Amino acid sequence: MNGKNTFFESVAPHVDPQWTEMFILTLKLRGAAGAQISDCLAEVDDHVAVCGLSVEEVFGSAEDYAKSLNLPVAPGNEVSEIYRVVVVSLVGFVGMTLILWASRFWREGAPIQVTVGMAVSAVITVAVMATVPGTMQILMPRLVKKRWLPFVFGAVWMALVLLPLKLFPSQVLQLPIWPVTCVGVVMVVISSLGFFMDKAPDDPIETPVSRYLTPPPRPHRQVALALLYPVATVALTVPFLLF
Amino acid sequence: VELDLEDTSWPAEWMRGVMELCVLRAIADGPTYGYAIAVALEKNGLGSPKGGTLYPLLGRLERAEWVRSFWGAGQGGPGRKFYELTAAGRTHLSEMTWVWGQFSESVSTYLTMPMQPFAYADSEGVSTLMSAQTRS
Repeated sequence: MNGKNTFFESVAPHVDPQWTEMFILTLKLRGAAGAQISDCLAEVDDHVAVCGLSVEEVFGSAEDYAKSLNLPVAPGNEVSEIYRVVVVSLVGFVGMTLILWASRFWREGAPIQVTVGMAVSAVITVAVMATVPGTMQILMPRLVKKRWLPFVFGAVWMALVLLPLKLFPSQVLQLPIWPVTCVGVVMVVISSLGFFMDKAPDDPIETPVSRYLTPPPRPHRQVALALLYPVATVALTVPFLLF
Repeated sequence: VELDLEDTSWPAEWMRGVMELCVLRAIADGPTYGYAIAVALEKNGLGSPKGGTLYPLLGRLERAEWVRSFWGAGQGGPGRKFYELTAAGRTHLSEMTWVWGQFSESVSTYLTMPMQPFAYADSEGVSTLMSAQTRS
């Protein structure tokens, strides 16, 4: 039993963990509040525990049942909020990439060489990340059902990003090192502030009883997300400078 | 005709129309929970509703403020959600039960009345009498 299944069994011990996973995922993607998802799941669990039938027999597929509940979108879970998080992540990611990229040229002091391949890779990366919020509802359930699909998507994305670098090596422009580094730093800082000022509350899935027993959530998630790109940037840049 | 009340499946269209009223009636006996409501319906000859029908309906009744819910101990699981009627729910049940009585009586009366010749208006607007036997 892995940790993920242990979690699903803790919130709905009488329900098939795969059904629970798909149920939570479907409702999360539809923007339902964690507390409401927990309540619905507890009802499913109680019904299945008493009647002795399988969850599929009583409730049908997790996706269809989740959709039939018509739960409202919780504040902070709107599509606009997802886009905001994606933009904040994208700004941080691009900033980190700029710093890492510039750091390769810090020692030589030579200007940064930009190739056509780099520009194409950057456009592909931004385009793929921009489609995430709009396609999540359709894509994520399929990725969970077919566990091999994420690897295929990962491989295709890597190929789309790396191939242009090899195929189009011709240089189009040169950029000065320190302005690029500064832009990268500013973008990472903006991204960190964006995460830190995120007012969306923690929205855990927990049992209706434990909700009243656990202390109120603290803003660890915000701090962790705010530190994500600065820490990753330092961790990835230091080896470049040392070796 | 003898009906086995615990093994009856009514046409789905009929059940869709009366399920809300029947669920409210099941809750009217006192605080109860999803599975017990399903059992009550089944025991009273209304078939056993699927979870995908019953719980979304309970959610709608709660949003309409005809029922309210509270959590209690479950059967070794995360908890059990109990439902009880609100005052508005009790009034609604009472009104709709009376309306249902009128409706079902009208339907029964009509369905069981003797077959009679009937009138219709033809294209010239002339009322014509035609017997059921002639039509067939």
